[in-house]
Amino acid sequence: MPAVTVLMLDELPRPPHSLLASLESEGVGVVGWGLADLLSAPLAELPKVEVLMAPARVPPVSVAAVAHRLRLTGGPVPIVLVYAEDGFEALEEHVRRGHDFLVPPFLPALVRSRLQDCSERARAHAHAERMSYERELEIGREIQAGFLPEQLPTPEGWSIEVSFRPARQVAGDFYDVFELVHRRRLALVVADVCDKGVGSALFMALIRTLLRHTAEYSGLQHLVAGGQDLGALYPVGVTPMMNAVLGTNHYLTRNHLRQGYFATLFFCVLDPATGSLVYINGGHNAPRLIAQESGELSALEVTGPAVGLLPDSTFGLGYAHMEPGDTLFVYTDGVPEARCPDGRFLGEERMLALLTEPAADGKELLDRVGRAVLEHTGGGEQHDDVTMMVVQRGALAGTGPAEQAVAAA
Amino acid sequence: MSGQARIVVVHSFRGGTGKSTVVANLAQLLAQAGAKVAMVDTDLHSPTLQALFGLPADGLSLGDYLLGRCEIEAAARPVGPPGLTLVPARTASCPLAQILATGYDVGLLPEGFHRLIERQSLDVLLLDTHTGLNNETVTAMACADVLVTVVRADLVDLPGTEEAKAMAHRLDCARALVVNMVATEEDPQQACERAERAHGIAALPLPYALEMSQLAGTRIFSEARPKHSLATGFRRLANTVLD
Repeated sequence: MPAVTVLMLDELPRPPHSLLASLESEGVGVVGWGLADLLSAPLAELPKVEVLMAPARVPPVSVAAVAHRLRLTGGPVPIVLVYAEDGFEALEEHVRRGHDFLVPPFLPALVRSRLQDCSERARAHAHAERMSYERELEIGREIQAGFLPEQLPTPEGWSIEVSFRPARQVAGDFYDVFELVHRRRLALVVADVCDKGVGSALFMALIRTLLRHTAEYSGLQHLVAGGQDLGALYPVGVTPMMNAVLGTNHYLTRNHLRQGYFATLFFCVLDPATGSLVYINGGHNAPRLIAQESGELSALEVTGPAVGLLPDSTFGLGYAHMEPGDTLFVYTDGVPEARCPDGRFLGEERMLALLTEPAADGKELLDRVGRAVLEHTGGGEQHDDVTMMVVQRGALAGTGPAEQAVAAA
Repeated sequence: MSGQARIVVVHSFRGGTGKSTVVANLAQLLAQAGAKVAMVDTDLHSPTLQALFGLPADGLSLGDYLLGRCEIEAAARPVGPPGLTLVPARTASCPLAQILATGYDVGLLPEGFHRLIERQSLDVLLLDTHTGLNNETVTAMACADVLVTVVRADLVDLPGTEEAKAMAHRLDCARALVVNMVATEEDPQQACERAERAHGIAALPLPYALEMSQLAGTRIFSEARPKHSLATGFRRLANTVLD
């Protein structure tokens, strides 16, 4: 039988001598605690044990309360075993609550066999619980996938590729692509909710929804009431984008400030007809614009803080232009901060070097960086969600090499 | 013409000043002089220009463009002399309630104006506006190279004058003030001085013309009565906005 530690609920009268002797002879470690201490001591000070043993005369509610506190310590989930030397009717309520029981004679072989049964049952129970937790997570993962766009609306002459790899089943990263202003513009979003796992996944669902819903239904703005600078009327698409970012920041700081979740995001509005880009970068890693002609990379720098941090945040606008053949690379910090088993980061320098090498198309670029991240991480744990988006403007129709080839044929 | 298109916005803070008549006559005269001219009626609430030019009630409009149903140049229709087109504010296909309920991205207005200028190689784009200050009016004013403010001779200093002045001061554009409907028995000079005191810029008088009502909107005045002193006034205004 594997080593077992028993927490004996040590109330007067003391546990029967025969029980203690049998436990000792079977090599079971026993620690004794009083009920009051078990209910009041800080969780960190409670012992981590496999079995909680208590006399049946202690009210079942109290025993259950102790077991509940033990579960919160993060140790093994203890099985509860109550014993009685007399007054066996007290066992009834315990058994109803799912507690195991032990009755005289407390002979070593009998006690050992009982403990063994109990611990096997506990292990099976723990396994079932873990399976159910994993099933829940899997459901969470599937639901979260529904918060990512099913298809990427891609205007003619453009290509959009994304790669999304959560560190755990559920992620705080997300991306979104949707049409704005009656399909005259395309909204592109990549965001990273702080932290990872279930908490950030819940906030991902909230933030993605707030951003998209506000952008799609931002309605008619009243310029006269807004006191906007008339010399600088917003270009098409900026009103919904600004409303979405400001509205989401306002909502998060008004309702969720205490929970401490925030998101860095890159939100841009693309005019597919002209290649003009206008964006808000809320504390996010600067995306890179790769100019095909010069091969130069330019960084689309931060224009405001992360969303959800400060109630009165303001966000500036950044402008960029994509010529035919140019590529926009948007990513989350999981890329440069991918860690190899000895803890070294992949690093921004390496990432930029990967971007400067020529690529046939967006997918090739995405695969190249994705592969580098995987190779760098090696067999180690993936520490953070990794998300990338590559937007590419095709060469001008009729002038690209492909069209020329067709024309020549 | 300097070769660069000019956006002329005609505005008044109150209704009934003859704003749309000024737009129609300016457009007519400029086009007759050989310029490529378009008018956009941004008065979604109470459009007038389409009636002045006798356009049918159907077809595409500015409203259709704002709701994403067409490009703006598809809503431009030839009217009057060659080289003149009009984008009506809204037609039967695009009721006001729909525009108000759906809303639109205000940035579409300047983008549409500049697209129209480019597509039609315009010399002058004339924008008619809704009275007072609403989104379309404010956006149109913000796009103006020349802002023409129209007041009526008998009512130059009304509530709203200060707001209109403050708004105009924030804009970086040339300005003209038109004092319309100066009565025959009144001294135009005096009417102008009164308006100049209230608005702080030089004014140009336009006489009251009984013949206007006799036309009953069937023709544009400067075309129907080219020798009338009002037509002369419109020609002076046309020269002013092109200066």
